[in-house]
Amino acid sequence: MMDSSPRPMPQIVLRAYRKNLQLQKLLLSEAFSLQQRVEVRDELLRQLLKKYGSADVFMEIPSSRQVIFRKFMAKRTSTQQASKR
Amino acid sequence: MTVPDYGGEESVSRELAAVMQPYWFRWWGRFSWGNFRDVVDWKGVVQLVLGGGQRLWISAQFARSVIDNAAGPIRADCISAIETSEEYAKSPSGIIRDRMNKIKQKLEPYTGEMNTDSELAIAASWYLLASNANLALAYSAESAVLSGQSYDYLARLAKQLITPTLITLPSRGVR
Repeated sequence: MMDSSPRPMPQIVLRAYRKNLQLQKLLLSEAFSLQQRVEVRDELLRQLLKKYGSADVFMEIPSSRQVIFRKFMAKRTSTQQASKR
Repeated sequence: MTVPDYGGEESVSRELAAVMQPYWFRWWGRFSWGNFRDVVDWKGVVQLVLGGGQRLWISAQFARSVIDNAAGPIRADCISAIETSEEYAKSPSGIIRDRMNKIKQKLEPYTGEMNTDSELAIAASWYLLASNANLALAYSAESAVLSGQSYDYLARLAKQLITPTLITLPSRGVR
């Protein structure tokens, strides 16, 4: 084999990926268009919901942890009650 | 919705990798270079996936592609630079790094003004010896091009060497 001929990458190197692949940065890189990012997000959510089902949506607030859905409903209910009064 | 609800970070990353994979393969199959900026941008993307050894191996093949331009007895040192870098890519160690540093010192005076094809071919090998796989990747490619290689050949060479997957194990192996 000539010195200038490329040497194929050996298995040991082929397997030596980055320790932690930077998937989120990759998704935001030029390798993905804006449209593709949206497609990836939607497909990821579809796959996760298919696998694990829906989950409550939480929001961290100082001093306690509440469900946004419940918080929203409570707000709505109190507004409705106030308008009735 | 939080990541733990969906099996933890590793599980979500696995799902994300699987979803991104077809797009990634499409991008890898299509990338092309027309100038140094394209190489730098490409390097910015691949460093998020490829390990240092993989990047160094690709760089070493860029340097190989112009080795015949390195004139005179220094050619043997350029080949040593390439082969030692390949060794380091396979099995990084302090001993190999020391050898790389010695070769680097030997090559340094020959890179000169980096005007001739020969000096540029030497530079392509010399950049492999920097302790930085990103620097090696970008500048071994650029020196190879300035020494007479085409961007098109180098881009095709990178594709020929590896089609990186996003679906890897924490142990860095391919799933």
